[in-house]
Amino acid sequence: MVFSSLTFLLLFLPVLLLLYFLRPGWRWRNGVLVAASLLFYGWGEPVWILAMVFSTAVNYLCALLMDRSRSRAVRKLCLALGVIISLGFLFYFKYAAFFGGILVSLTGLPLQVPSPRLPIGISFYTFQVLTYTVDVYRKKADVQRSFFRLLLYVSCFPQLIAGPIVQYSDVAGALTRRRVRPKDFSEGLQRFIRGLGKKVLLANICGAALSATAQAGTGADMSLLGAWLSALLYTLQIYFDFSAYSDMAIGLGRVLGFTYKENFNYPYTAVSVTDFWRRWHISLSSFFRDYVYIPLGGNRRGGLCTARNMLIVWMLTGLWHGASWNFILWGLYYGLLLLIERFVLSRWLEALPRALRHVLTMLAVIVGWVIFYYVDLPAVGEHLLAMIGLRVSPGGGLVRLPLLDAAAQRVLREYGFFPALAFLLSLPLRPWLQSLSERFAFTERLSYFLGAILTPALLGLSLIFLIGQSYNPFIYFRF
Amino acid sequence: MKKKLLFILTYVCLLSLALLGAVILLFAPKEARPSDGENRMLAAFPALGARELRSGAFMDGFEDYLSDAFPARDKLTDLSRRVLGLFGERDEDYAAQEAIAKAESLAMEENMTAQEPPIAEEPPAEAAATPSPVPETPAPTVTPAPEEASEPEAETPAEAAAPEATAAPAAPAKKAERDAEFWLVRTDGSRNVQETYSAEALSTIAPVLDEYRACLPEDGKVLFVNVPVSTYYFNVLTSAYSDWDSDVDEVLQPLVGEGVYIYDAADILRPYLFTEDLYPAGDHHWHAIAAWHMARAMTEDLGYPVTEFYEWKYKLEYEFHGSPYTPEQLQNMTIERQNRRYPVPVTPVESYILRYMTQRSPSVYLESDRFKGYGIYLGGRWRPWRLFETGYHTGRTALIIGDSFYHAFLPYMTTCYDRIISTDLRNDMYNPVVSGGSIRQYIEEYEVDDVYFLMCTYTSLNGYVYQELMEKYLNTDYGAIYGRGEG
Repeated sequence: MVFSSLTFLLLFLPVLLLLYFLRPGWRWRNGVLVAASLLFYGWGEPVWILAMVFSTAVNYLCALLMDRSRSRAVRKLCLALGVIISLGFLFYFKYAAFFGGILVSLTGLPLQVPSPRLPIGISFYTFQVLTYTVDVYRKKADVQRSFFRLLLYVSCFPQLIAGPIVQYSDVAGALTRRRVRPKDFSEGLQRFIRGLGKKVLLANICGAALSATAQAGTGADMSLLGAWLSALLYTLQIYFDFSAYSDMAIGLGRVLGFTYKENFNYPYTAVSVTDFWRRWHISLSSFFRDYVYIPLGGNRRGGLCTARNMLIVWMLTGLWHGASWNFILWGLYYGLLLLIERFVLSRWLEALPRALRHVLTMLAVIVGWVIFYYVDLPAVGEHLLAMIGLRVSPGGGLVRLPLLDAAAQRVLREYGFFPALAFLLSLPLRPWLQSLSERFAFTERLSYFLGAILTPALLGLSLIFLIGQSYNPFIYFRF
Repeated sequence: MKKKLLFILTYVCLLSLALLGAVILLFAPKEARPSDGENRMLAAFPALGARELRSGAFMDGFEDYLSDAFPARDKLTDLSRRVLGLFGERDEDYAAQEAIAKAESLAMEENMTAQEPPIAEEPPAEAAATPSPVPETPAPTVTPAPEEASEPEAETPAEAAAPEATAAPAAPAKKAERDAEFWLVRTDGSRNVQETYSAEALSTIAPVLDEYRACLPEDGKVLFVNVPVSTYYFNVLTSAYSDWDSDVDEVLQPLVGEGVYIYDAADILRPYLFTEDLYPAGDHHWHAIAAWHMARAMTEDLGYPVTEFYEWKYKLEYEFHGSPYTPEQLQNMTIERQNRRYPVPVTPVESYILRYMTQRSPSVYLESDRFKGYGIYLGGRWRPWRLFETGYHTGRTALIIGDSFYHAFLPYMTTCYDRIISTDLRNDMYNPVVSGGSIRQYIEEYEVDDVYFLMCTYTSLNGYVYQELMEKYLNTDYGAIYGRGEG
């Protein structure tokens, strides 16, 4: 089930909240939440509930054994078992076909490569459950003796399918004791509605505009500005799509009494690639930092080791997004950019004006999204070439592209307003309004008034737009 | 206080959602039913069983059902389109506005009075006095009348070109030597050019038409026509003009190979300009009678039997759902009320929406008197392909590629073909992903004999549909890129 489906909005959410607040006490509420989460997850593909429960059970048992044993070797063995089984599960479902294909093409062996269907959200819940096992091993978190509560942590529906990746230690306390004040309820729901509006009114419309542009690899002739337009549209779409989901997840978490960390912090205002990754998908960066980069030695063993660790982390980050060469390339692209920024250009970049640094960062980010968008690498090359106004002719030479193609013109004419609005809303207008409201009383009233008007208006508009859209999955679902 | 108010507000939002959900579950119809606005069957409440739950079919069907059963769905989807239209021009809005602007500038140029909006002008006295040939009482049945085919009243260049069908060899690329135009003829005989199509644009279209021809069997034909919109017709009816004309056929015909016929709608409709209601006032589309004249000309050329206009069964519609004008604008227009009746041929054919090359879903019949007509007839969103099984056994299949103008035309071709597939390449109508294949593959799959291109002057020959999409969609196998909808 997706947050932006009518099933969720009109039935699941109201019924869940009614049942959830029907009785006080966390036992009742945990029960309702686990049942609702399993229904949420199983809606569409119920069979995958078993995979999630199995992964949780393995890590539950490993952590219990770890806790009971005083032997370091046994503890390590339990950790290794939990990690290997969880990652093995992830590998089988997500990467077996990809690596099997590579093996077959390299060796020519007549192997039967498995290509199972990917359980939704497997990358997210695998990483979540691993944070529990590793945290227990590190004694950073107490073992969870109730399987039911561990299942609640793993399956809790707001963050189950597309994050943010919630580390166990961040919510361990809330699994047994949490309080929902009226303020949490109303602000959480408002945030959910804002997220819904971002998804339906901005991300989906940017997506529709993007699909109307000429795409590399489809036989359509692109133009210089058309190539930039489609790259910009995807840049906006993916931000609003994913950050909308995070907003909805964080908002719902708050309604239910959980506090999730922020996953985005206006990434398109970043002034360096390092800064960008501090602001984009923060929960994934934090996971890789805490559970891969630092255990590998981080930056404490000299420049060469740091570089190696960074490349490993970024290759894994790319691979986490999907079993495809473009994701690996995308990860390595960022790894290299971060290395260059850290070891070569840091002083030079700092000397540049802030605006120029921002432009350069956005340039790097947009190129990154082009790599991310196309699953086939020739299309990536074709699009990047188009962004400098060239294409490869059938004879192999380079020819100039026109400045603007008809599809891009049409998209600008029909959708121009929405990308412009999306760009504006990707700026930190809200903190800016809040700081104004602290200084001037009237802006506080204005912001309150806007909130009161915008919430129902956004919900109504989103519903109206949802009715006409039969298919609107979140981009990050496939990861 | 403020926090309390916000809490109440969010609580009310949540309650409204719950109420909506309850209303749909309790009161919405559970069975499948046709949608006038979208011309498709709305989803029924899905079957509920262990197998459906396990496979997820129930869940998919349930979401479709909720969406389709939403109260006032048609109005809300229309509202969402209007909201989008506020911030960006959709194709048809743009075309309509462009035409209105053009008509207004024309009016100024010709010193027309401000009280006479050009698009809604009164026809000249003689035209108004001439009774409409459209029958008030519909004829009872459709009777094919092969022997009664009347002689063509206007010779088309296609006739002169080569009515004998032979296989089309790959034509060498020829370049047009001049631009082509569509113009209105002033009473003093001078031209007032309305549309100019560049030589370059026509030179691009010609080889693509040949490419379509090459996909067809030996005796297959490609028939092409660009139809003027109503604005021009109503301007011709003013005292400032006496005629309209176009030389698109003269420029384009020499560029194409054998088996491709370019028609001139201006020539074909000319004899009836002042005697028949070819277009409805208050809309840019054409009337059924104009579409029939076009169909007749083409049918005769192909040697198929012609069914006379009066032999079809009609129903009359009073509301014009395809209009670019709001009801208020229509009310304010000084047009004859009589001109607001729209004869719609009732054509009892089996009709399907086609997706992914072969996936059929039954749809409302092309025209059935069970439903309000013109909304289905013109305004329906038939995406991305339609299939009509006509019940006539001629052993031939047609593909009609058009914009909204083809909807009025298609019924009159049903007597000539076993089946007709149709599509509209405009971007807000055509979805290549759901199409699941190229037009070439559709031609092969459905063994198409003849291809018709029928679009109006809003879909400009210089524009994206002709210059890019016509070739792109012919050749790009979207099934290979996105899959053919399996699973």
